[in-house]
Amino acid sequence: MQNQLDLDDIQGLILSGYGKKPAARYAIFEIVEPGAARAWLRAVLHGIQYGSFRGTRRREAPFLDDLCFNVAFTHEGFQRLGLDQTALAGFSLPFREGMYEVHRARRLGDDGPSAPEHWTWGKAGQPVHGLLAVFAGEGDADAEDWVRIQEFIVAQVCRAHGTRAITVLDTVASNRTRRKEHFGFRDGIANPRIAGLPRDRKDDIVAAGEVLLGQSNAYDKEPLSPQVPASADPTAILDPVQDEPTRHDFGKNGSYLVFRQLVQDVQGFWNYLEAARQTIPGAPPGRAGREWLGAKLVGRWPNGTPLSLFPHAPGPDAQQDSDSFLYGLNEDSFGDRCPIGSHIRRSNPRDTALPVPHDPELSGDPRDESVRKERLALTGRHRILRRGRSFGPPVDEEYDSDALRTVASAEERGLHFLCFNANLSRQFEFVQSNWVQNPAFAGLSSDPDPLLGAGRAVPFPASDFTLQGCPVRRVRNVPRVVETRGGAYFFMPSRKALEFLARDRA
Amino acid sequence: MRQETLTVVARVAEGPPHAALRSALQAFERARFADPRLGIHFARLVLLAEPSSAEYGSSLVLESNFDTEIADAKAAREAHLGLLCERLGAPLRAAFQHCARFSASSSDAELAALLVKRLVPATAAYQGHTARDLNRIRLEQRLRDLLIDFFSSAVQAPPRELYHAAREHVRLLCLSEPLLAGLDLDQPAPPVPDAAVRSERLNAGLWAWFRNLSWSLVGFALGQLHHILSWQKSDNQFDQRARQEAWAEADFEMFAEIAGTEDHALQNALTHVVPLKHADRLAVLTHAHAYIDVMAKKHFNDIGQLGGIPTIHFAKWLLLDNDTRLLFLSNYDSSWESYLGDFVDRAAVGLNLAWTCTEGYPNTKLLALAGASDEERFKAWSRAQQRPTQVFYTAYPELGIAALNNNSWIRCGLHHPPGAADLAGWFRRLT
Repeated sequence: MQNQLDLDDIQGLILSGYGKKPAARYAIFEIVEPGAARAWLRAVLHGIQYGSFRGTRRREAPFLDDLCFNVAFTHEGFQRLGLDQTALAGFSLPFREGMYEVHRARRLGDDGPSAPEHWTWGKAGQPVHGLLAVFAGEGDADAEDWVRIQEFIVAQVCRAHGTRAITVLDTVASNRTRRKEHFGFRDGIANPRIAGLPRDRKDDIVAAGEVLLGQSNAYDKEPLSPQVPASADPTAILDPVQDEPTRHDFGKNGSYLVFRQLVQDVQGFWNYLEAARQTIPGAPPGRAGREWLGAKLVGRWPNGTPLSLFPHAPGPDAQQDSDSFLYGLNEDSFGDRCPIGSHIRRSNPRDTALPVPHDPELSGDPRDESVRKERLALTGRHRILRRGRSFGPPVDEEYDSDALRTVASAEERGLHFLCFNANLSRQFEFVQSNWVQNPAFAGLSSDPDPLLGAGRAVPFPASDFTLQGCPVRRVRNVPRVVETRGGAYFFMPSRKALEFLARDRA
Repeated sequence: MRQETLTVVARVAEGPPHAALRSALQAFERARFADPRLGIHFARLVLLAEPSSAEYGSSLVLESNFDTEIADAKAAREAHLGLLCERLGAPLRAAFQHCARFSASSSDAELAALLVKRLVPATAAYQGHTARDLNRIRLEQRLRDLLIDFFSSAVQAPPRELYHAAREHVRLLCLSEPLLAGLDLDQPAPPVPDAAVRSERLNAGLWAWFRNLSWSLVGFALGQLHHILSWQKSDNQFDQRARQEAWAEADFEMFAEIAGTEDHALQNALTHVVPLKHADRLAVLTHAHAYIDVMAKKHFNDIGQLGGIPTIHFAKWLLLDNDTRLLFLSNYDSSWESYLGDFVDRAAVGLNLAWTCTEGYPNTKLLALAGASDEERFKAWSRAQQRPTQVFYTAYPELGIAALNNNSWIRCGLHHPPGAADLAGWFRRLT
């Protein structure tokens, strides 16, 4: 039995994407006057949305606030707010160095047009300190929701509160996107569930310590968490560290938040599919062929149904089982249905045998349950909890694939990719560099992720996509259809940590 | 042809900051190692720089994995060093002239003789493959690419027909494609590990470790048992938190320098050096390493996996500085985080044996258990002992050990037409 989490100490966004709230905006800000910023934090501290709403049934109180918001800070932000030096030094290296750090950028695939020097926010020398994420509305978003959010942001992020907005990032109403991302594929399907969280499905569970500090992780250890000397916290706002009474835990119930603003070239994507389809002998003609090849690249049909379950045509729209499938149980260990290099397979390989599925001596028999369990345990150490939302209007409200290819649109659109994890190196960065960007993922040789890793300058110039089967098919020169426009590593602290951070120290 | 490895360690003459030596390493063009006469798979030059306060002087390390026809290891290493100095005398001299007893004016032969004297034997060594030379590796990779190209434009047909068409296509290409020179599909393919033996070894798990225990090793271990039990109670392990909270500018610079050498391609190099806990651990360490070495030679080499990790091209441990420090050199696929994660998830036992006697290693039980499974501590310990690999060369940066094996089997299947049951497996290997 898992320990119950202290939901009221955990910021709500870690536990829920607020799927019912159609409108959202993210204010990225800097702290210009630390004292005023701390005073502001004290004032809003208990208005922040915490996670207690996840502890009850949907129709039982407490409910989600009508307008709800969460806050997170970068390492520089914590520094600016005057956080204790010991705690500052207790954060992990990626968080301290920042997403823009030059070697990290290379590992994450941020080169060429995605290089941090071209970012509109989050690049070196232009420090980002904090994030205020605001959500509102119910059902279909109306104009008033956006006004309320904007008024709230303007009222909160201001000189009087010691902060200045660097950028306010808009999103598109989730009722307009119907959970589709701009290429026209249903998104946000596969997300693990946190152990110990009530009212949740019981499959695909990760240990709470894979997301939250101060909790036990997949190795039955607590992730390294920033601490403060007990003397710095005389009123014991923070919980003491177990077996270490001279230390209080600043990181407990907080989580590292990855924020990446990704721009999508919708027309480029569909034009490539049209050109590439024609190079495959026997591929379906026209629109059917484009959608088929697109599904191969993504790993799901546009309606979200997985190729592994529906190899020839999309499954029913309301397919409930879009997430709970394993490759090995669907005769798909080797990529005949869902290609090994497809986006969903490499960002969450499930029971794919790594590093080489097609080496039968090395990989064992996928029908053997212990083999399957072992594989799931290995890939399970690299899960992330996604909380992203799209921005920019859809190219076509119906996501008609012909329209997506032909309608030219100068407007920028894409995804605000947000994810939570407790260990940036082992989780987000691992997924991004070893699986997504790696052209040799799972026995491939020149196939980076067709959505997120193609067309890079380094390390490998080739961007192929291989469709396993008999015979194998390969399409060449997959273009870069997603670019990074900005990003930062934040940490979303617990209520207690915010209280400690905000305390008056006059 | 077989693959051999060598390691030279020379004491640097002057103290830090080694500016001249560093710039010699910076000026060293690693592409020079690609000289076809040298037959080098991997090579590196590393400055193990020590602060003037350290009890060890700084060292310069030269490491090479090379093809040789010479059966005797010692003779092969000497011949390789001779050839290296003949082809790369000037840049090697520019670096080694900063080492004790080396000089800027030595001849190539004198340089080689000095390097031979500084060869250091490995206490344990693993090689992912020992029988593929560079030509074969390149040929087999080219073959795979050509086959995938061929199938990508082939009209759908029954597998057997497709296979034969591909075979005829390759047969024709052999006449014109320079990288396929020497490929004769009517001759037997070069040997690949026997599937049944490999399967048995890969699945042996911990049992293999028991099976390869010698009575003398068991006797030694029993004799040391009271030490081992007392060590595991009293040893201090790496305090990740204290270390991290004390990181200073120099630490961040070191992390950045190491990160700067990583992830430029699929293959990466690891150079790691750590002091032994105490001289009294030496006997246990050398016995443990001898055991790992036996395991590598009898069990792991050539199956493409070391202790459960299927991404290592080579790994070797050496004792330095009068047996007071342990140096680890390795080439692996994918990122450091992935390699270290594999240590934790797949290979903790063997690695615990290799490092348990060194300073700060996470506490083990009976030398082989626990230890590396303390994930964050183990990774932090490892990063703290790591050194930048200033000059790193690999002949095939984009090829993982899995791809090398896979390519050989694809080729093998082209020489020897697979039966009905194996044909699907052969097609599967084309990814």
